[in-house]
This record gives sequence, C-alpha cells and structure tokens, in this order.
Amino acid sequence: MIGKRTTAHVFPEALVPILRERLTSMVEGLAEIPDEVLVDLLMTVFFAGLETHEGVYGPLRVVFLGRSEADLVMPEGADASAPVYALKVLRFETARPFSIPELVKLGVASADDRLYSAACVVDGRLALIGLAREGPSADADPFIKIVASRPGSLSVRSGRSWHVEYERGTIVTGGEDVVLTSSPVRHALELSAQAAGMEEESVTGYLDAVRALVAKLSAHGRGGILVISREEQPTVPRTGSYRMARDSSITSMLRLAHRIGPREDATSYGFLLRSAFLTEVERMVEEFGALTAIDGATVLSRGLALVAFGVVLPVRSRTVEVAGAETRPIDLEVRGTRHRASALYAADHPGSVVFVASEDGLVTCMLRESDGERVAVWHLG
Amino acid sequence: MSSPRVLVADDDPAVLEAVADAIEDLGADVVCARSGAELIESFGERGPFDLVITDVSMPWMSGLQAMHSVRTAGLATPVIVMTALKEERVADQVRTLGRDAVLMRKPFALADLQQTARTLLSSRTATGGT
Repeated sequence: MIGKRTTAHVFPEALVPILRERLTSMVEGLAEIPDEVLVDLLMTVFFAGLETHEGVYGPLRVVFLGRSEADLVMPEGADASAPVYALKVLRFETARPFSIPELVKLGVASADDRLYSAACVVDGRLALIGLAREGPSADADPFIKIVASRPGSLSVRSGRSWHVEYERGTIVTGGEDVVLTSSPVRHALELSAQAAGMEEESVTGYLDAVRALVAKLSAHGRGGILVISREEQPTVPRTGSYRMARDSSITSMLRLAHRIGPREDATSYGFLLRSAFLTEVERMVEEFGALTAIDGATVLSRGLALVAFGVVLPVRSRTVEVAGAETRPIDLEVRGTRHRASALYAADHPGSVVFVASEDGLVTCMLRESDGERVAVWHLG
Repeated sequence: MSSPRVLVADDDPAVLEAVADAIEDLGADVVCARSGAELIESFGERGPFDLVITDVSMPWMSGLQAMHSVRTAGLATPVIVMTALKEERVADQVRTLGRDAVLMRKPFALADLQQTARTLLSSRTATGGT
C-alpha cells in the first residue's frame, strides 16, 4: 500500500495503536476491546500465517466480530426490500479455541476469498465462534478483517477497504500519498480518469483502484512495473509481451456502479447489480496486481483495462533527465534496469504514470507531466 | 405466465419507438432507454429483464461496452445488438457476449427483429433463465 512506512522492524502487535486510530470510528465497539485481546488476535493470525508456508494451506482470513452476537449483519439503512447482507455468520454449536492449529485447519475453508474464520470475545477471551461469509453488501461492514495471504504478511481491512499492511517487519499504512494528495501524480491520474469517461464525483473510486493496484504491486515481494497509460489504446512491443484482447475496464465497472447508486430508493436488484460491478472491480484489481509479479511491465489503459503484461520495456543508452519530487537526489544508475527502463518509458510517454516496485516492496513513482521536460520521481515507501 | 420484460436502448427516437412498438406487439413489457447511461440505470432500477435490445453507438457508454460489463458482472441476459456500423470488429465484439447475443445490422426488417426476439425469449423460457 502506498503511504507511510515504518523504518524500524516491528512485530505485528505494533499495529494495535494504528488500528485504534484508523478503525475506531468505523468498527463497532472497538474502543471497549482491551489491547491484549487485539495483540492476541494479530499475533495468532500472524503465526498461523507462517504455517501456510508449506503450500498446503491457502491464505488465512479472520474476521473479528468484537462482542457482536448477530448472525446476519445488514448494511446500515437497509430495509426488508433489500435483503442483501454484509456478513452472515455460520455459527459453531460450541465456540472453539482461538489458536494457531484451529486457524490453520480452518484456513482450508477460507481459501475462498469470501469466507472467514469468525472470532469473538467470549468471557473476556478470544474464541472462534464459526465461519463468516462476506455478503454482497460488504462495502462497509463494521468489523476488522485480517488476512495472512503468505508467511510474514498481514493485511487489515474493514469492509472492502485496506487500512494497514504488515509485511516482513514493516508497516505500511494507507495514509497521505501521492495518489490521493494534491500532487502532479494525482492530477495526471485525474486527467486520465476524466478522459476515460469518469464523472468528477466518481474519480475517487478510480484513485482508490490505482492505490489498491500499487498495494498489490508492492505486496507480492517480487518487484514489478505498473504503467497507467494516458492513452486509451497504448501500443506495446509485440515481442515477449502478453497482449490482451480488448476487455471490460475497471473504469467501465466503476461508472456503471456509480450510475446505479447507491440510492435510498434503489431496488434490491439494483443493489445486487451495483454490488456485482464493485465485486468485479475488486477481482480485476487482484488479478492485475498479481500479473505485476511476472517479469516485465503490466500496462493498463487510461480506463484501467489490461492492455498487456510481461512487457519488456526497452533500455536504450540514453540519458533521462530526472528530478526528485522529494528532496533526495535521484541516481537511476544505481537502481538497476527496472528503474531505468521505467524512467525511459515515462520520458517517452508524458502523462503516463509508472509505478516501480523493488523486491523489498519499496515503490517508486515516475511521471513526466504533459508540459514538462523532466521525469519527476517520488519514493512511496 | 407473466409477459416477458424487454429493455430497448437507442439514441435515435424514431428507431427506439419503432423497435419498442414491434416488441410490444409480441406481448412484451418494454422499457426504453436513450443512452448507455439510461440503459444501465434502467437495468438497476427496473430489472431484471428477459431480453435487452441495444444500439451500439450511444452517448455516455456504448451499448456494447455496457453489455460487456454487464456480462462480466455475471448477468447472462440475452441481447440483440443493432448497429449501422460496418466494421467487422463489431461482430467479433458481439460474439464475445456469448451464445445469447445476436447482431442485427441496420437497416433490418422489423419482422426479422421480432423473429429473433421471439427465439431468444423462448429459449429463456425453455431454460428457465433469469
């Protein structure tokens, strides 16, 4: 995730104050949950996640329900005409211990990305009370979800928003960043979004999708390049690239979802349809993000449609004038081929935003503004 | 059995009216849309439908883009795509919408449209589709 990254290596318990700061207003009853319960929650999922290393078990997904006893959680403001739940708890007859072996065992079930192991506070201690199925209206359910998708990592989310990523000792929070704050990068992305037909009021959804894509680029730990082109149909080299037939874009899904609602008078069918579009956006972000782990660049059109992946960007013997958008000087010669190729691409494609991740998850963003001479570089992590 | 529900979208009012009348003659309830935006709004507010009949070139979002996105989101509603465009790629794009997608190049006889609509609607009834 783009944003602030801690410099010292820490254990996952260091996430507790960040969770409180970011989620207390969203997660029901979080203020009343003691720190030791949250520490137990995070550390147990973290160590259970290490067990997934064998490749036998899938990602571990745990939803923390606090002290909630409801089996069916409906979205706020929902009525009987919109029977679409946010979360449905499939309750065990008797609560099970919240332990590493239990989580690892249930991880087989939670390989489905909608199914979570459900944890609650029972008699002051954590317990597994069942499985919880994320419903069509999971946009803003009031719970903490923790996902350990591979050893050493934790993603904390609420609803469908990521809030904190923990990766091999470092914490990255989704705070102020160049995509969302007022910066040339945000401006360039807004122009691309508008050129792709996004209405002004829904551009935020576009920026959120880009942030989620960059989070995926950073999180897989293999390094990669993600290009958000200024063009609708950017050209990519034929050799070595997996060029895609034209398909639906993230932008078209977001536009359709925005057009349908949410509205107070939305029908349950409209509600479901909107949810289907947003779910598809989530899937596309996951898939495009995963493709960035393949050698070469993943190139998206301005509408965030997949144009190609595995694209070998040319590295020519040419000097690219770069400028640090921060105070640090930029020396691309020491950053390797991936960064030099990205800088060349950015230089040749004004308005296109290029994100480059190294194996340690650090992300660099490059942009040559349409009226600029130099490629500006931002370090995101 | 209740009347089939059909959504018709075209930004040309004359074509829209003619197509809507022809489909109503089949005994269907018809909802009209005049742009890609109205098409998708109608989908959300007045759906589900048994059949969609849409023009390709429309304001806000083309009928093909809208239907492709609707398919991607998991809806298999049969569709008739009408177009005056000559490009062969339109036929390719319609084919990607699946078996229940038919391309009709303008101009066409309304009787042919009715026959195609009847076939698609009857196949939905036979399979108990959405």
